[in-house]
Amino acid sequence: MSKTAAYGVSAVTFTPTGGSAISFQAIVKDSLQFNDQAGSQQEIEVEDMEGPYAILQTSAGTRGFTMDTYDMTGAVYSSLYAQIGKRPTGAVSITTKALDDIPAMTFAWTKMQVTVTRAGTLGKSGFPNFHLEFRELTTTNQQGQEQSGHTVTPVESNGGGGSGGNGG
Amino acid sequence: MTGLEAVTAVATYINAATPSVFGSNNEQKGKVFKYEKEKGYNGEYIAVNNLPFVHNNPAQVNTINVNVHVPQLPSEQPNSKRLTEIVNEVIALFDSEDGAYISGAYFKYFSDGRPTPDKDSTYYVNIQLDCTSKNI
Repeated sequence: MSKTAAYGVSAVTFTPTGGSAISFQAIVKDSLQFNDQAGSQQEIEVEDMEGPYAILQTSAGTRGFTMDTYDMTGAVYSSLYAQIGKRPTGAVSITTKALDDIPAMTFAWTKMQVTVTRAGTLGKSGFPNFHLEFRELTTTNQQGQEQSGHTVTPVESNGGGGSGGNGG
Repeated sequence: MTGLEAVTAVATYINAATPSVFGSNNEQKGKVFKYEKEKGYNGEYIAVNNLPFVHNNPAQVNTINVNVHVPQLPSEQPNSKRLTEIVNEVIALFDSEDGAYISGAYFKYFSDGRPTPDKDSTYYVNIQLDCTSKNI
């Protein structure tokens, strides 16, 4: 029985809508962070009750992650450079690493919006980097209904096991 | 993973690469030992040991020492040419992006030290490896 945690990052790819896939190089160590946020809500209170009378959701939650890459040459740079200040959308996948009995996993999103900015110092004690913010967008089917656009699956060479869908 | 297991994994891994580490046409073949060399052995060798293994994080980084020993020159100076050859070969084994993945842990080159005289008329260079293993 393998463990169920996820460890490390071995690859992050972004496939812009209508474009070709970019596989990010030189990802800054420990820079990939999930930063989901719960939607905000408002509690309606009334004079004659102790608890909230109703809780209304006032904004939707967001799901996504941020990541930095040092890659300042080559295909990734030119792809990203064209997107600075823009917000392209596309499919994203993160592949993690295997560690002992923790399997490599793939986190995949069918539609995310990416905000591309440059950050850091062009100096002698470090490198500037691209800062990428990924936000999940709602995925709809052909009938226009919302459906899950996010899956987490172990990277297993064969066997019918484990297509553990997660999301919705 | 315990320190003993990690040392065994690294020693076995280097031992399997002995021909490239010590050079295939070297008349005095080197050996790989865990912790201490065997009694009566004279020649080039690599001794692998570990610093205390801590187990308080889900993914833990600990330190493995790989000490490359080369007999001193007649002038009692370090044989830096030979040390450089062997050290570079050892580093190459562990210097990929993630390091070497052995026995369920990652071993990655972290640092190399200066030639230091040892009691057995050798000089050794210490190579530290970061060993990333899991604790869950």
